[in-house]
Amino acid sequence: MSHVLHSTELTVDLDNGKRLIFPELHLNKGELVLLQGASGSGKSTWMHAIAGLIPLASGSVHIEGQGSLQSGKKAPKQWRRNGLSFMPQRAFFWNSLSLKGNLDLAAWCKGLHVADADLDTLGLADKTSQAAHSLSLGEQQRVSALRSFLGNAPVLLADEPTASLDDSNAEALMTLFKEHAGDRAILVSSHDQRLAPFVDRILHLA
Amino acid sequence: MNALSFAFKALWHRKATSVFIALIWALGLLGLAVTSRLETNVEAQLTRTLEGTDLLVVAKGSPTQAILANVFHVDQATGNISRAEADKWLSHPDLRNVRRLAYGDNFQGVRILGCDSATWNHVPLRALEGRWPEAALEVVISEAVAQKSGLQIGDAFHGSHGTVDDLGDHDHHDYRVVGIASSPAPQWAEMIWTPLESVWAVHEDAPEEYTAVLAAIPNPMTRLMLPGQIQRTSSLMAISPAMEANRMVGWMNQGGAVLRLLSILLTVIAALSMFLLLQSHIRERLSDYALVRAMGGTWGQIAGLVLGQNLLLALLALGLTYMGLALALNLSSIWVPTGVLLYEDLWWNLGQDLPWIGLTLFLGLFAGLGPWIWLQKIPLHRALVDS
Repeated sequence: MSHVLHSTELTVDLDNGKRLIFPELHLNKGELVLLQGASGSGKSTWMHAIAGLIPLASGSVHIEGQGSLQSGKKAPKQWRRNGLSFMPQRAFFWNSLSLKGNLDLAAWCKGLHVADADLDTLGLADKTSQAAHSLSLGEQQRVSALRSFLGNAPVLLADEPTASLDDSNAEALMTLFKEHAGDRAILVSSHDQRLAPFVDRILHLA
Repeated sequence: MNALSFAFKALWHRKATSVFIALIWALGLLGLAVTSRLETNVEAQLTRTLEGTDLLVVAKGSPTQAILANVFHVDQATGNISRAEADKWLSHPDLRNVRRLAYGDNFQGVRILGCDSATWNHVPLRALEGRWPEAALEVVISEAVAQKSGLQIGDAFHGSHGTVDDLGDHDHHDYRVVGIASSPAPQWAEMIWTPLESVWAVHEDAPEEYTAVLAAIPNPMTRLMLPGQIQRTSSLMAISPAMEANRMVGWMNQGGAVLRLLSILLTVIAALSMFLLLQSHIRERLSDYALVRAMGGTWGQIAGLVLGQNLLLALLALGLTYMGLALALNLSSIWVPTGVLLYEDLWWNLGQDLPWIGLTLFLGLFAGLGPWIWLQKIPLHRALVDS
């Protein structure tokens, strides 16, 4: 397998003066990886650091074909547009937009003309004009996942996506990830033990 | 989809607040637009009405009152002047288009204006039914008077003393209507014209007097010198209406300045409200904008979303302003003082609006800059985690 993402010597300085040091990370194409660790271990911070949402104190992240994110430097221009997709813990849908409007917004952010997300696969085709936040929590997270698939970035980082989901919804979401892992690498952070059976590999963050 | 459509939906989502701010803003803009339009229109009306009147000779009194009474026909005259004394000046070789007026009585509160043919030849006409008077006690009434009184050509009536309706009738002198005139000029809207001789005949016990004499003076030097010369060497008051009009416009502009200041205050309050609205919206929905960045949106795209909302509010305010202007023009008969005419071509001269349209759009965008810059200083990861 070829490495799609490779990060080395990644460290992040927190506001409280504490420095988090993260291990080397490789993600391979077609791989669904679970990042496990206790609450407060820094899983989300690591995700944010890789996504370029928090400045790096040291180290670098390289995505094949997309360049490198390095400490002290701005993230490459297209880093979150073409390089990776980031799925936050909550969907953060825009209240003012419908379900389709939220997908259109995501497509617009990624420079796409249309949101080619297939809501039929989620059984939500008849809800496209509804306010996105009126969907159930499970549906919201699945739509959020579908939104992060837009643009076909080679890496998807999903931060605690199942934190508030019941078993069936968590299973549906992980199945969705599995189905879309074929041409990308997906890293899911969670302390949720239910996810282990769905993934190819598990990383532990102490 | 583009930034403006997302911005529009964000505004639509909080439409009550958005419309309220646009309304305040529109009120400020409307104040500015109406003030400048009134000034332009009144100035134009003064210029157009005073065209061909470079000299006004009247009894001593207030020059403004004299102009209002004898040119705009909306005030009481300053008094009468001796015909013999005035006629001495009327033979001046530089005077043209001399018009002599003698205020007579009234009919149902409408002024009966004794005048010569030069006066009615000076009246801009839409239509004249019948003819102008050829003998004493013949009158031409304006279309509005005909409608109000029901008088027709051939009808007779008698006038009342003075310019108000309750001082007793001249019931032994009947006026006879020989024409009905329709004029677009507001000062001639409600008027009864009759020869000077009618007024003198009705007041047969009084000496023959004029109320005013108006004339054009093509020679600029005479235009400058003659009023002073008349003042110095006679008991008459001679006025250059153009100079008085400039003074009147100056007063009006002072009044307009107060209204303009209030309007600017309203506009600033609206811009400030818009800034606060946007700032509080962004604080409240910080995660929305953090998400846009997390999904790959650029700061340029976020500027489109943030500034786009203010741009749309500014456009809404401008739209409401023009609706207000159309309404104000249609309802002008209610709020514009009698005698003031609003010219549609001047009202809709959009060229005069370009500076404040530019200012409005600038204010809208400027009020959005602060929140946009503030947004860039917020750590994205905190916005996504803390929300």
